[in-house]
Amino acid sequence: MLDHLHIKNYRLFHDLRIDTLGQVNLIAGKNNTGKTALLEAIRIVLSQEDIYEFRDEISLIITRRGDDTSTDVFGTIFNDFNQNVAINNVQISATRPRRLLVNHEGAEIVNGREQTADGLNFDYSARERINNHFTFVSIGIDSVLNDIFWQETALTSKEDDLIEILKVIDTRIKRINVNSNNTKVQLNDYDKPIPLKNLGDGANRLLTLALALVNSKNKVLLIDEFEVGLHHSIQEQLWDMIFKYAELLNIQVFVTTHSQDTVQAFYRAAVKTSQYRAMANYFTLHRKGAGDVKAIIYDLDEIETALLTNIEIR
Amino acid sequence: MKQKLIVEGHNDILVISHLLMAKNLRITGYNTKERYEKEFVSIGTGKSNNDGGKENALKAFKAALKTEELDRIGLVVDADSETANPAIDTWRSIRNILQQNGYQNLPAEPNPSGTIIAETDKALIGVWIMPNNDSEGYLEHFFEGLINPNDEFLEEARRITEGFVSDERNRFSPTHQQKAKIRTWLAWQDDPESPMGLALRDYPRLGYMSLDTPLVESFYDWLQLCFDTYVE
Repeated sequence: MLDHLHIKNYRLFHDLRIDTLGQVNLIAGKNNTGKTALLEAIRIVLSQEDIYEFRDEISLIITRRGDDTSTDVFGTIFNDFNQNVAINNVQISATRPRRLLVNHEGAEIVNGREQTADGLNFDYSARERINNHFTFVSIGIDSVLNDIFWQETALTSKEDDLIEILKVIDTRIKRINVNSNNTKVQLNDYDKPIPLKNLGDGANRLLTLALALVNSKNKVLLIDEFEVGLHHSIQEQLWDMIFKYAELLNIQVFVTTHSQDTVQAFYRAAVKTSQYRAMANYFTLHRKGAGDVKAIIYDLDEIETALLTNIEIR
Repeated sequence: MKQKLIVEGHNDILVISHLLMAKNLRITGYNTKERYEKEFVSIGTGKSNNDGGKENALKAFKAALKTEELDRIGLVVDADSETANPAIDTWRSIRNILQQNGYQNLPAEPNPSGTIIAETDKALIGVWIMPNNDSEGYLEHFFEGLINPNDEFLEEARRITEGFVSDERNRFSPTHQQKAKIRTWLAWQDDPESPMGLALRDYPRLGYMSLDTPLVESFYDWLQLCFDTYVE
């Protein structure tokens, strides 16, 4: 589990330190504060193969502690660049920014494509969204991800977990068959398959999140813009499920949001048990004017005060 | 410009918004009722106590400072009771919060005309300790200062509420004697249901109250120093 993060000179982060990370992390912040870039940075630090692709193209220092597995990899790959290697503390510094990423078709995504720091449209290949270390769920419905995960889920015990999570949107859901854009479910007392999308706008987004959750055992799960497509009424129950499965399957979760409803749902789920309280970590990325981005960490009592007294902390 | 006023309870909000309206003063950026109520003001609300209170208002003040999102923050709280220096002791707890948030040039005592703290690159802070940044009391003491001093009903309300307490016939807590007195007075005016806020709209015009006392003038000055305002 990542227990802290230090990002230097990557995108809009000059020197961002987040001293406390939890098992379930919610990250809020205005536009252009780098929420999506933060998820990317975590992706990079977790990704051994991707590091090589990033080698030439970005300038970053990511310090990592508490996980030995990648230390050597970073040490070797970045041998030629400015680097500092200490025990359990890797700093990577590459200094020739040119390209950001190569997508799966080989087309270059260049710096000039950066329109807003939040709105970068990476065309992530499946490999860039799922690997041994993380699962990345970007904005919107991801049928490629759904299909890959369904292969891992169908006819295993994960299917029961999946159904439990899907009940958040409709308690009658009994079985499911995931098939790209034609996913169907069976409901209790209704002996005929019906399209999942008939259960509401949020159903497909929920499916992607649920599949990602049950397939992220011992990994990091990254979810960008949690609230997209999800009605606020189901968010608290979904957080219940995230906490439950994060604990059960040993998943470290990072979620970004713009929404006060999401902060509230996160808070309500987190205070339900002392275990969830200990797992929950909330911070905002804050940028004053054109200054540096910094992280402000709020404890659950502070979130409660802010929610009750109408102080905006997102 | 992002501005926020934090108070202890609903009555503070109503009194302050009627004071603003009486002089056609508007808070820049929060000139609609909705923006004023939903974004500008915060009431110190606790989980188990919906009536607000000082402790919750101070928690909200801390959270508001921590966000670093606000340009101006005003805080109106009651003076501590049962201490030798009510306003000074209240100021000390506020001062501690400000120190923890990096404010450096803080006076040892509150300004009798309302305290304003302006430091570079930090939110401008205004603190008003009810009723007058000096003596013990709360909003109802401030309100009494607006009633004509020789108002016969005020004198009568004082006599009766004091009588209940000295005869030990009071059902209200002795610390709430001032609240009982002001509501007694309000009940005897043209509209017996009128709360403090509405009273400020109607009774100055009828000559029962005045918005030109030194205390209210200080409060108006403080509001305008603390917040970006304009006259409509």
